[in-house]
Amino acid sequence: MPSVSLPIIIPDMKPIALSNIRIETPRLVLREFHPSDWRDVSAYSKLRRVVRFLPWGPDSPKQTRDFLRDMARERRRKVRRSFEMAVVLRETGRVIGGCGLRIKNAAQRESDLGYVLHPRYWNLGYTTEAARAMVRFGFKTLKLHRIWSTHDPGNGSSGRVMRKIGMRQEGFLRKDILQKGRWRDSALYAILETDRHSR
Amino acid sequence: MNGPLSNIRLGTPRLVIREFVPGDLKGLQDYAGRPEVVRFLTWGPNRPAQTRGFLGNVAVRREMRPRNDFELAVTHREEGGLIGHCCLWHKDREQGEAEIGYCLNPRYRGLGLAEEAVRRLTRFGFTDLGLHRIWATCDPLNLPSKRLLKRVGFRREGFLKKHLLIHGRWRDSYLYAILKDEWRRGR
Repeated sequence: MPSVSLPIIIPDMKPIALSNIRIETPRLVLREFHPSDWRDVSAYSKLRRVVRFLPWGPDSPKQTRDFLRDMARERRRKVRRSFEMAVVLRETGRVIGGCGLRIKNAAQRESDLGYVLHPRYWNLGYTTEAARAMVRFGFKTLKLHRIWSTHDPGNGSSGRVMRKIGMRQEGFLRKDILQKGRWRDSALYAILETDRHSR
Repeated sequence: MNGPLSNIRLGTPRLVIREFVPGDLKGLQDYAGRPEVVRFLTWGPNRPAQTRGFLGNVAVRREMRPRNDFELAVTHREEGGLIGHCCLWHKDREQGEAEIGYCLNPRYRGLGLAEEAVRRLTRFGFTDLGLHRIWATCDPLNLPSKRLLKRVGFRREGFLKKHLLIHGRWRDSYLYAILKDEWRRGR
């Protein structure tokens, strides 16, 4: 079971004062990013094959440091809307990826889910483990109603993660994301707080 | 488009779509307070104070730069009065994408006026704001709204389960979208 350092009930989803989140899973710890993580983060964010299906990247070391600085700033905000966590492999203590929720519509208690992982750790179930914990955190702690995610139709492994954590495909968005200079389609998946997998 | 982004005025044969003014309160409340009008919407039925609050809120967001919210009054060109409103929310600038919504006083239903407004608003989004994609959601039971979107050239892209909390119940939505190319071809 994931444990959260500051479980705060937010009935109306307004001020979210969670600034130091820590979620534990059997093999991973999801924690806040620190500026000192930049080497670990850069190790994957600079790789073309990692960001191939993502709208951002590949990132230079400076872009990675800027990202970490933005994340530190986001944590300090009174109303926090973005919960981007570093995915740490327990065994080594190193950051091997990221996984996050971004609240898109607070009134409707809705967020999206995103994840990225160093290719050395692909196909071992880590992304699924992290995403599942994040979804549970979203429903239990943030009291979300619905979490959605999209992936490039060419990125089948990302779709498999979504299905494994209990998301269902709800749509296919045409040319909704500008990715590496081209408009790309997205498969849209979602999970509800009432779904069996959300518990 | 006439003038800067803080003073939108869009004309169609039968309508003028313009910024809200405080004097619109009465015309807006005339339909915003009715349960049958807001049946498929996340807000309302409004008390007059809520409608006044909405107008104040709109006035503030109108001055934000960059301007992301375009909540506009739909007025009848000949009669001059407010007959509805339409909105364009420019949420994700980098992605050139916006959501639209609309609501019409039922007295003016069945004349194609909402469609006229949505067509004009869509054109505003693609030509003046340079958008690439415009989307809208509507309740699967809201037949007139579904038909309107289809006629304007929107295509259904998804079915969102329990998407919106509407009058205390989570309701499904259909997701519709139109791309700039499709809109250009359809004109």
